[in-house]
Amino acid sequence: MARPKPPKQRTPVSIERRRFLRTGGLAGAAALVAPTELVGAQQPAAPPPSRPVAPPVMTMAAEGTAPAEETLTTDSSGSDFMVDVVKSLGFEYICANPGSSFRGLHESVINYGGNQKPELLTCCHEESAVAMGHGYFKVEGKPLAVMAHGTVGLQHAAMAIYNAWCDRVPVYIMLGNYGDAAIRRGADWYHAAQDVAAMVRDYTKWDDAPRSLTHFAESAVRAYKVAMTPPMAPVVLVLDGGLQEDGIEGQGKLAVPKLTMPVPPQGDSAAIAELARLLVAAENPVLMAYRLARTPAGMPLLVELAETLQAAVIDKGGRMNFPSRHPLNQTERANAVIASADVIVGLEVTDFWGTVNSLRDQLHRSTRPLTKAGAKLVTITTGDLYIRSNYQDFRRQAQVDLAIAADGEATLPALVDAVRRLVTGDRRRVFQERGAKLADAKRAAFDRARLAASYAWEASPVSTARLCAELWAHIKQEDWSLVSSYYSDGGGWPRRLWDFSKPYHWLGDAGGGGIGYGAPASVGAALANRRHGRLSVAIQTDGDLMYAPGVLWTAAHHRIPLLSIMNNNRSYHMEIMHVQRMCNRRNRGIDRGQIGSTLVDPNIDYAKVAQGLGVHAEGPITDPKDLGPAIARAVAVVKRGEPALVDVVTQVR
Amino acid sequence: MRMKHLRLVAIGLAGAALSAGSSSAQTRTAPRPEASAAEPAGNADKGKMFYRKAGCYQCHSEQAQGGTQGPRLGPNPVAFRIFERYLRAPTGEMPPYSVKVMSDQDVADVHAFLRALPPAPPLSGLPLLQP
Ligand code: HEC
Repeated sequence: MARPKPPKQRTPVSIERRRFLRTGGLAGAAALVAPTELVGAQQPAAPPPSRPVAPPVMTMAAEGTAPAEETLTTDSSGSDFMVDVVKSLGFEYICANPGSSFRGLHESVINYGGNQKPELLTCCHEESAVAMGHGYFKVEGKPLAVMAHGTVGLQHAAMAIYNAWCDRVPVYIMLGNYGDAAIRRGADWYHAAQDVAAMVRDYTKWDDAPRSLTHFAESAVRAYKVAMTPPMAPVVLVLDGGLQEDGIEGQGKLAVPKLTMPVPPQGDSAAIAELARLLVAAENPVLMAYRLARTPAGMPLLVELAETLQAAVIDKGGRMNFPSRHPLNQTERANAVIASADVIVGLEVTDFWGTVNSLRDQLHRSTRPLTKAGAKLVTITTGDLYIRSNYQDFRRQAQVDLAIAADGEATLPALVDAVRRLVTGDRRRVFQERGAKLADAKRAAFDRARLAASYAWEASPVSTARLCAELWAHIKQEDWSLVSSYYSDGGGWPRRLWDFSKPYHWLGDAGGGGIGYGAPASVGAALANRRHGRLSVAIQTDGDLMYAPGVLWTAAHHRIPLLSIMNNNRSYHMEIMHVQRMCNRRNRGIDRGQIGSTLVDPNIDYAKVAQGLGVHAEGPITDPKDLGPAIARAVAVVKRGEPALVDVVTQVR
Repeated sequence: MRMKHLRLVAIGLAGAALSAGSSSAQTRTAPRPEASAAEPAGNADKGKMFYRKAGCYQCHSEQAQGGTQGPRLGPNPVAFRIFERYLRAPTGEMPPYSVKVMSDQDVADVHAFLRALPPAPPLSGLPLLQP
């Protein structure tokens, strides 16, 4: 792949740091007329406004009278030190929609920090900024930093924070806030709160509002450590406007604290030995993984365990846990293998109950177990180490025989060793027979998937199977990464037809089920893939893109190569099916279920939307024959280092 | 025999909607018997319209090829009696279609539409689907 072009605008590292403030009252005026001035902040520096601007009033003491010899500039500010600390944590990027409550930090990032490590990425919505961090982490295994207004920015960001929290992904969020009422100007009042983090405290792992720079330094390092320790989750630091903007004099001796990452918790050795005994003795053991592969080491470990036992694996797709074409991958036959299993191990499976039971969505909801009587159920999850009350992401309480409260990936090496020690020659022969049967079943499932994909092959709108097959033909020779697709978490077409074998081939889903994750998370993941020269591909749904399409501009502006293939079914289709259920259940209007959930009349022209945001785009494509050539042209653009979008009108599912 | 098959499909889907496509394909390798003598005459064109209007396409897709939410229904649908019984009283996740919203004639029309669907092109002729 061609190396990506540098972004259009780059701030020279050697820029004179204080020139901006010295040129006049622009900074003071910016916050007063927030929306227009903020957009203006993207443009080359505007001349100072001609109307008189009141000098910034920083303290009560200064309020009454301005000193005769007023000091108007400073060479040191709190946010410069904040940047020192942030740099020490190794952030590559910091995403933000600009906002006055963190203008001090913003300026320090671009001037004092030289706009490198972290480099500031301009986002058009705080939800996009956080979701970019979500996608970025899943490729890079490192968090991305986000700056936002403490009130209006955080409210926009909240949905993406919730998704990241449900998905146990760390995002490092710094919020501006003018805590001291005496220094607030007009809009600052709306941008200030007593307890800024309160509104997201139920779905962040930790937050703090440091009162001094030393306090900031410790909390910043602690926040990183907390966010990155499994179970991982977003964290919030509230940065006081005064602390950012004031000089560092009087703050004492400042030092950047050392970061030492904790080792993730491994399962208890007696419990691991017990589980190994169960697995080796089992006739039909099943290994089920959801968010198991936390790092690239996770998948090879699960492969090793599965191959040692010749056990069936169900990859529930929260991460790239297991190669899709591996003979032991029985994901498409999940219910069949669960029904015959005598030992089932859930590895970081959030909804373990829901995978071994079914809950029927009819007028009277009924449940039944999917397992056979006497099957032993075991879980290994950090979910047992962390739970909150309000939001119900913890799912239904599963009744299991052994619950190991530990990190799944960290526990696998010991489990593999324990299993190996117990395997005898007799058991190995049994395992081999079992493995051969599973391999046959896998081959048959793959053939069935290919056959199923052939139906409606020529259909217009394009069938989702055809879309995935056409796309696969264009990417399989590349070093590709499917950065998002709503239909791939377990049995969707890409997972049934494509050969997923590398840790970055699949990144999992939104976590919290909040639509609007796909587009920005794809851009964030593509940003991380860029450095590795990978071809990032998103199967982009229409409803998802419409939440905040501005992220396509961010991709264009920062030269983030991403191939977005629209799965445009012109509706919020999941919801149509839900309403249809209600119509049927109530015996009325079964032909009206789509009202309120379609995106037609007018049809949205996504190619035009994307072009308007500076992205190469084609479509709408309705004839499947046009799809291949359009994908080829878009791949060429992406290989040049830019984003491209192909709008494909598809069947509903 | 047929009922057993239906129940199996239902079980396959109830736990994990995502496995739907494969569950159905799995049970569909044998050709379906022709419509029985007792079956009311159906109009495939009307059935096509009703299939769309009644929302069958939502879960079974526009050409009844199946998708992530429901199995493939045609060509070669299940025999009429079983088809009708399933619509009236589904044993799995599918929403019920009572006589009040779908007459016996509508059921016959949809069944005729499913029977009239063209077969899939031979798999061997689709290079993109070769392993
Ligand atoms: C909301 C989703 C949904 C809608 C709408 C729907 N179905 Fe289904 N259908 C399913 C599911 C899921 C199954 C698989 C069995 C189950 O779980 O009930 C199914 C199964 C069937 C079966 C049994 C297939 C077999 O191979 O055993 C028939 C027949 C059927 N549907 C016909 C229809 C027709 C005709 C319509 C419209 C009048 C329709 N369905 C509308 C979801 C749906």
